[in-house]
Amino acid sequence: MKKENKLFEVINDIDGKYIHEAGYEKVEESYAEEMQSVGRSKIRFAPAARIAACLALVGAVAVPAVIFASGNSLGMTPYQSGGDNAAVEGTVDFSEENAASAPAEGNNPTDSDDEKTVYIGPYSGAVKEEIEAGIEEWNNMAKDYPADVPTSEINFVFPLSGAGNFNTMFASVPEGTEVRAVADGRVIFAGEYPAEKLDAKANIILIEHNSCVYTGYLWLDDDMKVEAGDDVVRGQAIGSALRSPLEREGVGFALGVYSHAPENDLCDCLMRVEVLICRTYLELREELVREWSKKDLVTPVENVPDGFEFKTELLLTGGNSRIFIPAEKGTEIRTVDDGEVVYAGFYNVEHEDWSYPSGGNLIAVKHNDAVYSVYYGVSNDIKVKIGDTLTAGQVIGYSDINADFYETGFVFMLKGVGEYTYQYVFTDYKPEVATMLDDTEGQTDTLSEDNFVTASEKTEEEQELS
Amino acid sequence: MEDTEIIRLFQQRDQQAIEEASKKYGGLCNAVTKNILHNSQDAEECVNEALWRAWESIPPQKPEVLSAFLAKIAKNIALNRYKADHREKRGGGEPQAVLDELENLISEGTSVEEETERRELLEAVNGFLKKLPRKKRIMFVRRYWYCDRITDIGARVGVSENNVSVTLNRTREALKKYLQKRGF
Repeated sequence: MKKENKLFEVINDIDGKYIHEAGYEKVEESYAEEMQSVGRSKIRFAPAARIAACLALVGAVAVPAVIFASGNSLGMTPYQSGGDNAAVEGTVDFSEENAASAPAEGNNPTDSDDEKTVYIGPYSGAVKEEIEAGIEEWNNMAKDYPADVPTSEINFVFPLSGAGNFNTMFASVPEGTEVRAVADGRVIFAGEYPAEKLDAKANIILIEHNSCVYTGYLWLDDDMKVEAGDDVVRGQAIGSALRSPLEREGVGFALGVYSHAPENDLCDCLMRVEVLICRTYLELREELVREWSKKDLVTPVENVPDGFEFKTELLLTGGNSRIFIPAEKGTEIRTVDDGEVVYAGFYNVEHEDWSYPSGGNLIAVKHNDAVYSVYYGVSNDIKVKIGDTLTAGQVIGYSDINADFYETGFVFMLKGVGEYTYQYVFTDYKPEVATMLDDTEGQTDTLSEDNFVTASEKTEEEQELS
Repeated sequence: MEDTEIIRLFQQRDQQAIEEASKKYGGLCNAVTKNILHNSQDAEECVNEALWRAWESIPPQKPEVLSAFLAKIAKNIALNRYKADHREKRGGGEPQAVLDELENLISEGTSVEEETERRELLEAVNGFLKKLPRKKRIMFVRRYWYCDRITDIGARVGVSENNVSVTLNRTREALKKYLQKRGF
């Protein structure tokens, strides 16, 4: 066998998950990449259109163009986009400025010069015809929608213009707002969605309207009025919208229309809706960080080394502020602000890519939905437990000999935008790591850039790959 | 229908399994076989054969990733057919281009006929893929597993053809270094 064939044959046997990923999943930045991207370049909602553009070119589920149902005259704020969701090439934009010319007023999106209906993947022949027939049927139905569907507060139209179109929408409506089926159909799923990326309940209902058109309703409360297998009619109440997990005024509600997508694809599509919702949350969290940054914070130890400062600006860019604070053994460690203890105990950081070789006691305090402070390397005499409510300056533990730095002190860090729950602080987060230049000469009294070198925890090899 | 349900149908010897698998993954398999054979009828035959082979092999097998399981069978059938068609001459089309691109990435001495070494090489390649950013990984797998054309990959991931070429080139170089460090 020729040597090039050797590798080819080996590649033929690669892990099935990569084959599945490349062949069946949509090509879209991973959640982590999305978050990283958002962190780097401020919060933007326009990428909804970008996502659509990507989806438009994905093979497994035909999703060529997108229509973005958006704001209306009734005061709701889909995605709170601020008009930033301009259409990109190859998509149809139904954002605020274009909503008035939506098909309800006779401007059929299929006539749009911007639209590119792309048939992709395996869809061809009879399947393609089936999709086209289903979409035509759907569009005929959609033309008749009254303004109060699916909720009394939302006015939108969502005709499909090609195989794989889908509309997504997130609206702030009062908790308990009735959500209705937008068309006759059959419920194919009603239950809790495994929203691993969300720190909130995510009940969804999926309704099949014809052989290739479905709608999905996300962010519903537990009191769902239908179950899988139920036939529903247009306008029928199927559930109630849920209060935002951020306890903000209003609720999240999302709806998607998909074509020719089996159930698992629907869930996948809804995950994208979730990502969009998460963007909304990120923006809200950014506000929380800004508000928090203005507070008069308490230093984590009474006598802070020279040069110590809260780098709260990093919290807005998805970064973190991490620093090793040398302190005598037994020095009181204080929470920098009011908050709730979300972790207190031993934590093995080996798998956290922190470049710290060992574990230690760790206390994490949640100050609001966006900001956490973390204290790592605390002595065994931890003064708080998970769930405790703290006031700024309260002693939470004492500094110890830190095995990772060969000196007494502890690691202090702030976490900001980019994490959803405390869990994600320790699973998804890929921070820059501050390490001592010289461990053996680390008995410093002051902290400055000279004392630390910032290095990625990634290996050289990984850096090359990324 | 969920994969687990389809597999359960296979295990229960319910022929609806084939129908459901075909409905869900037939297109995917077809895309793979067509990439290799460039002939719709041949590609379709390979897919049908793959489905029947799956029927014969489940049980006892219980694939972890059904899509990959079916696609791999289909691909192997298509490759065998491709090899038979091109036995006497250097082949053309995407498979040959892919082979050319993979040339010289591993040393002459590597003997993948040796099961141990083959397994180690496979582990290394999987490890490499794991470390790749998702988008690059998809590009790589689409090119070197699915034998997609560069143009099609660009359309799929939403980047230019040139971007795909450059990315693949760099990824190959990275793979070469990665494998060299591990003695391949």
